[in-house]
Formats: sequence, structure tokens, C-alpha cells
Amino acid sequence: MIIAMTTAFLISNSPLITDGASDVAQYVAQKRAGERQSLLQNSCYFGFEFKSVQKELYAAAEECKSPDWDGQGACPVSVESYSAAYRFLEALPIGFEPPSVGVEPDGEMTLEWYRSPRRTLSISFSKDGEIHYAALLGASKAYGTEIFFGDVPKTIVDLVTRTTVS
Amino acid sequence: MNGEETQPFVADNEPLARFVTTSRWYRPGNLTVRPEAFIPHPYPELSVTRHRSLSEEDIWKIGQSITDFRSVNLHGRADIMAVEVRKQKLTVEPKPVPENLNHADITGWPADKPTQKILALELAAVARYVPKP
Repeated sequence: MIIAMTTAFLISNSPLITDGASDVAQYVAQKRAGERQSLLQNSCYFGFEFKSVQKELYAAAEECKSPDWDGQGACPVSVESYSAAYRFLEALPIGFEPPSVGVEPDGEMTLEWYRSPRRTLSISFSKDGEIHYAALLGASKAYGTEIFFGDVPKTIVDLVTRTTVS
Repeated sequence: MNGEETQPFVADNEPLARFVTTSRWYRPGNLTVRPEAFIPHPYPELSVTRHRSLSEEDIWKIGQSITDFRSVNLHGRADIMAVEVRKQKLTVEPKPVPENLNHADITGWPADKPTQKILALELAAVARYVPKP
């Protein structure tokens, strides 16, 4: 969590990011922030675990690319679902715990943060650009749908934090 | 082993086995069941096998014959008590088939995906993963 705050602080407070209010200034600022995040994710220190999750994502998509991969009539993983999960991983704030990868029989790829049976978050990526999420957080639970536009929805950020941070 | 005619009701304390046919449905690190194993698709019901009157060996034989027939690997099974299914307002219906007289369906699933997911999480949280011997 300390790392997440530090890197987020570094990205958002970089002197190269403008305070300009025009659309162009905002675009440039966002692009530079994205580039910095990408640099950090690709670095040996911050990026190693996310690279391995992306590899795992690819391996899972390959394993489940044919119809009936579970022997019970499962749908193949769609390109859209794989692509959305990949972009989601790229957009995930630096310092977050890396998730594990799964596939549901309807062909949706999943990412899971698991601490214990009753402290678990699972999100799945539909081919229509939706993120379906469900979380058990002790005695409470949360579930619903968010649209994925390329940024990690705040609801999901909050749920990852609640699931993984002690 | 009896068919539906002789024991239609699934008792609360009956264990049910969900055969795990992919490594993506359990966590190898701690051998626990992932919720993906309990998502019903493409049917609106989820196939399970009742332990009733079966030995461990018999249960694995059924799982192996099913997976051999479907040309997939049998990794293990997720065991769950019928009462845990009912706690989620789902129903367990005996549905014996010639090759598996202990076959049953978990029915009553909602149509929307987020609700299916939260139910699958609840079931996975109380299921026990048993790796294939």
C-alpha cells in the first residue's frame, strides 16, 4: 500500500504534468501519466509480477480457446474478453497486489484477488465491455456491473483495496 | 445405488461432488475451489454427483468415465453439502441418468451474471477441493 501511494504520488505530482485546463493540456497530461505508469509496470522492480499475470492470462486464453474446453459445453474465450482483461491489468494502479487468472464456462476471463474464503474478489470481462464483479468481505458482500472504458472503475479499486489490505 | 424412484429427496447433510475438469477452477497454492467451478453454463442448471451410497472409489470412477467420454482431464472434485446450496436459495434436484444414477442438478440460478457470481463465490467459500488421487 505504501508503494501504491508513493508511485501514485510520483505520477500525479510530476513537474512535467501540466495544470493547464484546456482539452489538449489535459490530454497531454493523461498521456504522460499513462506513459509513466507503463514505464513503472515494465520495470524489473514493479513490473515483474504483472508481466507474469499477463503471461498467465495468455496461457489461460490459449487453454480455453476451443468450444467445450471444460467438457460441459463451455464457450471459448472471446478475443474481446481477453483484450479487456489485458488492458485492465495495464491500467491497474502500481503497487496493487497482482490477481490470479481464471476462466468461466461462458468464455469470460476472470481476475481474482483472494485472501481467504470470505475475503475474495472476482471480476469477469464480458465481450460487451462490461466488468461483472462479486466480492465476499467478511459478513458483507458486493456485486454488480461496471463498464470498462480503459480506466479501472473506482468501485473495483475500492474492492481490491478492501480485499487485500489488512 | 438407487435411482430417483427410491430416494427422490436430497438430504441437507448429503455431500455433492462437482467434478473439476480444468486447472482454472481451483487454486493450486492452497487447494481451494475457485468460484468459476460453480458458474452454470451453458445450461441453467449445474451438474453434480451425490455421494449417497458411493465409495470414494466409485465417485472417482464416475468422474473418470464422464471426463474420458468428454475427452477432458479430471483434476479433482469440489465437495459441497446440500444444505449449503439451499442456504443460497438454490435447489438440488435428483436427475439420475443411465451412466450416473447419483446425478443431480443445482437449479434456481438467477439469469444475471453478477448474481450468479456472488452465489458461485458463496458456494466456493464452503466447498472442499479434493484432488484426484
